[in-house]
Amino acid sequence: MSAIVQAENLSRFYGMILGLNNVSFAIRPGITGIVGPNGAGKTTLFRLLLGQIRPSSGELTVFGERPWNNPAVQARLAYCPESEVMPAGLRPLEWLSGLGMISGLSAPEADTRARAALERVKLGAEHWRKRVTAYSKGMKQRVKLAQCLLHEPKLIILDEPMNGLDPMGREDIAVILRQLASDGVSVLISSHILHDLEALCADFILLRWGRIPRSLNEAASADARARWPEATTFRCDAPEKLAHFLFERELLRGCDITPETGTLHARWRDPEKFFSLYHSLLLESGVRIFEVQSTASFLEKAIDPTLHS
Amino acid sequence: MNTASTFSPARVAPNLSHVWGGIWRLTVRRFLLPGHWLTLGLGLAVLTLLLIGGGHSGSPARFLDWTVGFYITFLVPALSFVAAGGAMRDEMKSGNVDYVLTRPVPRPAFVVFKFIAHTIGVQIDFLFAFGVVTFFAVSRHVPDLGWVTIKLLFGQMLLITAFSALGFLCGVISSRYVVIGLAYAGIIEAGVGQIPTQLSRLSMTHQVRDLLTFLLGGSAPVTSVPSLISTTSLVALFGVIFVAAAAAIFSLCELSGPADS
Repeated sequence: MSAIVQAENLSRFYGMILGLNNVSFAIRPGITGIVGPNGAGKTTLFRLLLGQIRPSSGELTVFGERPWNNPAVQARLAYCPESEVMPAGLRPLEWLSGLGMISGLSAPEADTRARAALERVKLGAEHWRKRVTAYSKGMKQRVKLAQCLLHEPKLIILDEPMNGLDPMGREDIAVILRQLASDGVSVLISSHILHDLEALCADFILLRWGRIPRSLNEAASADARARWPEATTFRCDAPEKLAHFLFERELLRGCDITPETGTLHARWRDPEKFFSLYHSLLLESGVRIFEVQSTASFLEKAIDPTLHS
Repeated sequence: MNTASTFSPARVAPNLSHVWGGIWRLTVRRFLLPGHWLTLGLGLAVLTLLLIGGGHSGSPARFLDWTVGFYITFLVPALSFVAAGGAMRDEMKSGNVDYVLTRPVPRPAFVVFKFIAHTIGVQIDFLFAFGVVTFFAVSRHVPDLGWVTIKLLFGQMLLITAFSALGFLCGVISSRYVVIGLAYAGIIEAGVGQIPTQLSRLSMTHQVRDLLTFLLGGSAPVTSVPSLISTTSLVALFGVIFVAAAAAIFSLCELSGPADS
């Protein structure tokens, strides 16, 4: 499958300030997560892709063309920024239909698509009479996503689209993004809510200090994600009993018990052996399990070296 | 690296008439905001006070001198410049850049359309101000009021267009567009414009003032007799040059800084 975005030795500096430093990567169609701490270079990467800024050096192509100030590329892109600054005094339909026309749609078509986009992001018609600046954070996120859907882009770039959304709202957005992906639209998404990204994305690019460290990206590779978690936390009514049970079967390499919270943090000797017999082992233990969770997601491990070690 | 052949060809460039419609819609909404009407109302109140103070005593001729010398060639250009510079800076803020300029609109077309839409809005705003001036002209018993009004309105519209263009250019160049504007006003309008040679034609306010004074029955300047066509052409040419320069600079400038990274 051809890469829709390719970067070779791409750098971007703002005077003495580092944005991106000599990164090379390819982004394939589908949903790709961009992960990194604040200041890692995510927004710089997005602005390069959108053609708002030029690379300081290196090569960047989007759909085979250089994106800088290139309407042919912009016609296939849509961008949902992290910022919540929105034009004052506009109602969502007015704003979206105006943006649709700027994308080249006729007035009736822009109006129709604006309505469809608002319905698709589940922003009820009862809210359409309010001005967008009066919206809650979650409603703003939905309108921002809706403005991405107006002109049938081939690549949607979303900067922290889950900010301010409750779990239901996040799931709504995830469903829309999956539908878009199944319709052949690629999505590039950054978020600090790593569990959502893990559930959503097929590929990841991990950025840190303007670079793409190989070790981090290997830790987040598809191979790594296919592996079972190396540690698991159980919340149960008898953590000591469960630890004893698992030790007897030589499944544990080590564990930590917190009696106050009733948790057992288990580090596996052979995670695959445990997870292949997961249900039967937990039933056989006779312990009432309230919650099971992987101690750290692979993304958390990948971007946090202390967890990784 | 060359993957151009892998992808379907880009869609045709967006229909520019639709782009104009979109920019017009988004621009004109700003002129309908309650805050804008409040500002306009306050402005009209201040103008009324100035008219009462500046043109209260004296003959109709003195009233016209005040209208041409202060309202048409100082107040209108200054406010048009500030409004246009502010409008352009607003367009360069992330809230607009991220939504509008990530779309496939050629940047020169964006600047030109934005300028036209904004200038139409400002022209309409100043019609209210002109209405106040006309009211006072009636109360001063200005003779031949119909023709005088048309000539003054023409001068107002010409200067709004030219100084909006200058405001767009300065707004694109810097967020401190007012400082650039003050430098321009000091050097060109107040400096070169007062030199009694052909160089004074660089001053747009000077040209329009000379033209209006001449058309309203005053004396012609020493350098040349003003002509409606030559003055209009020259001021319009300055406006076109300013907008073209703004479009060219806007096409080349990057639209975000390190703070976003």
